[in-house]
Amino acid sequence: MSAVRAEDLRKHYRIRSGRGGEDRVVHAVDGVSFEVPEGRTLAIIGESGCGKSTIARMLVRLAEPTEGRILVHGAEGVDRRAIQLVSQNPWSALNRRKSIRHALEQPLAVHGLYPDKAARAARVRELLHLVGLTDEYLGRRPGGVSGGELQRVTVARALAVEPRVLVLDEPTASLDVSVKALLVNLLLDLKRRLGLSYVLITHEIDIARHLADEVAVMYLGRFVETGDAERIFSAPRHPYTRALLAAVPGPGREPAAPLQGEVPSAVAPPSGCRFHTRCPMAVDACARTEPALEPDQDGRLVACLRADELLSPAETV
Amino acid sequence: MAPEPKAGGAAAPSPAGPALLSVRDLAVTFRTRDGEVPAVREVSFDLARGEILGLVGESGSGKSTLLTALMRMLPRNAGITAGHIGFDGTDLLALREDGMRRLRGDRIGLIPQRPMTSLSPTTSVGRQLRWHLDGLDEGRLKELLGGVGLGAVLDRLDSYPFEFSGGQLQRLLIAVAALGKQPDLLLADEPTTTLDATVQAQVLRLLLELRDRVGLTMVFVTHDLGVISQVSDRIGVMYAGRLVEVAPARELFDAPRHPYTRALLEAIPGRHRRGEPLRSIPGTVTGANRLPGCPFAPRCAAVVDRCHEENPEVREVGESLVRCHRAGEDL
Repeated sequence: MSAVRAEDLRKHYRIRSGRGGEDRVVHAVDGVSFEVPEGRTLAIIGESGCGKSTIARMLVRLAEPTEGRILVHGAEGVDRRAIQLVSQNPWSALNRRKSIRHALEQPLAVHGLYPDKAARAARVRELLHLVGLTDEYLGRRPGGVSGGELQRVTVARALAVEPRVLVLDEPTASLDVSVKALLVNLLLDLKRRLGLSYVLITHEIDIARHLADEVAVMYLGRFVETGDAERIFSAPRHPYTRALLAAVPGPGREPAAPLQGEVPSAVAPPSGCRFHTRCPMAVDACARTEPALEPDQDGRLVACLRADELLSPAETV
Repeated sequence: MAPEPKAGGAAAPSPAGPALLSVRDLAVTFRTRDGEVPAVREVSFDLARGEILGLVGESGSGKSTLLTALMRMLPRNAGITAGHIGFDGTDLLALREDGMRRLRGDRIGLIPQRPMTSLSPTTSVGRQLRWHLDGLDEGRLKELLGGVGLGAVLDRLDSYPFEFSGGQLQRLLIAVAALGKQPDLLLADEPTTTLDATVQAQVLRLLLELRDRVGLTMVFVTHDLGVISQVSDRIGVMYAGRLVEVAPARELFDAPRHPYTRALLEAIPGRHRRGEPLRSIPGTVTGANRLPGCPFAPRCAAVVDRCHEENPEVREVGESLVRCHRAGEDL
């Protein structure tokens, strides 16, 4: 059974316009399906506004899908404890007036776990140790703790109710390079020790590359390419995936030939393939026909009318 | 009163000719409730015309403070307590405020991190362009916006900043700061940090293109090692207020000399096999800018006793300038 299964998820937000005007609809997520096998990590990558964080919010039921459904370990919406969120900014995720002890006790209290006082205190210490922090942090408030340590606290808090799946929404985006490494290592270690499954939402390609078993590339509310992470990162097929990976700056690399323009509005997504307005390979048909995600020869799914022509020379031999 | 310029202080000489900008032993201190906090200490470097110097460091390393000090726009509770800044033969710290004001924008330009907060939200973009660029006619406007790939927004100039994307606004500011004003020196503070990857690539290409076309001289500050590797001729690495290493970009990545630079490069995920634990740097930077010795000593794998007592002098190793007692040793 998969840890998470999402079926044709959609989330549309209505924006009210002033008197007389017609309401507009933001197609934040527009029909995505995915599965995360138990013990695996799915990374959803894309740029801001593509809808990846909306998926995170739907997974933990902070937002109700407009259409579609989400199954966690085969069940729909029964057990909130089974799937928990770690968000991007630990400073805004924690109450700055309350101690870290309070932050870790809160989920236990809400769910009526460890009602015995001594047992609850022991559990709080256990959680803190789990993320590599010592008892001395218990009495501190978020203001007196560094960003990297604070992000560990939010991970510990998410683990308090013994979830089987963590949704990691840009977990390292606010952290410095040296601290980022520590958090990545912690996530790898926890997954192994606790048998967790992860849904990792990120725009940091190198973090996704390091943690993910599978990857879904998202553009304007839809997946354009999904499949085995190593295959996709080493040989991206969809023109958007290629542009996105090429745009990652690194030593010894020239800045990528940039895509034209910017991501169009999700209020009025382009007709046909949503990427056609910026795609270097677009042909007339791309503006008319919306490509479906079709299986490729190596098992990945690609949504591109010209997918067959996109094999790299090495692969066609 | 401006402090006396101090002679000496081994600097990072720029290889490409006489320096446009020359910084010596610069120190900036913040006055806080807990006493004085040194934010920048003993920073020296030279910058030649047409050169891009990247400054990289983690949060709190002093890189943005250094940039603000170069513009002399430090907040009230901060001050330059020592050092010398020479700009095209002028001693910037000896200038009166009105003289400095004449330099800002026209001869020393700034690209800020968040374009949205640098523009007035209640004035049309076209009107703001005219504020900054006197005698702007249609032809010139077309040329400027075309030069940063914004030709398509020419008919939208009566729109307000919120109606543009972050990438468009950042290019607009680059059009003003770099092309409109054509300053001798451009300072860029994390100019692509808030942008998406594909838009960041556009802006980086644009800056490199402008360097080749109009000979931009630039100090580019960022925390992103990937970005800095692509735009810089030389790179300076900052840690806890000090410039610990300066080297040509290739040299820095191929042969990092300072233990901190090494540790930083080793922490990049791309240098590891997938799923393998990343190398990390133990300890924390907190408090390091008050230490008497080398600020990296408490976290350094190669630390020896004198590192805790004495701040290392700058040493030349190959093409790199390194502040480390053990520079040049086979560590």
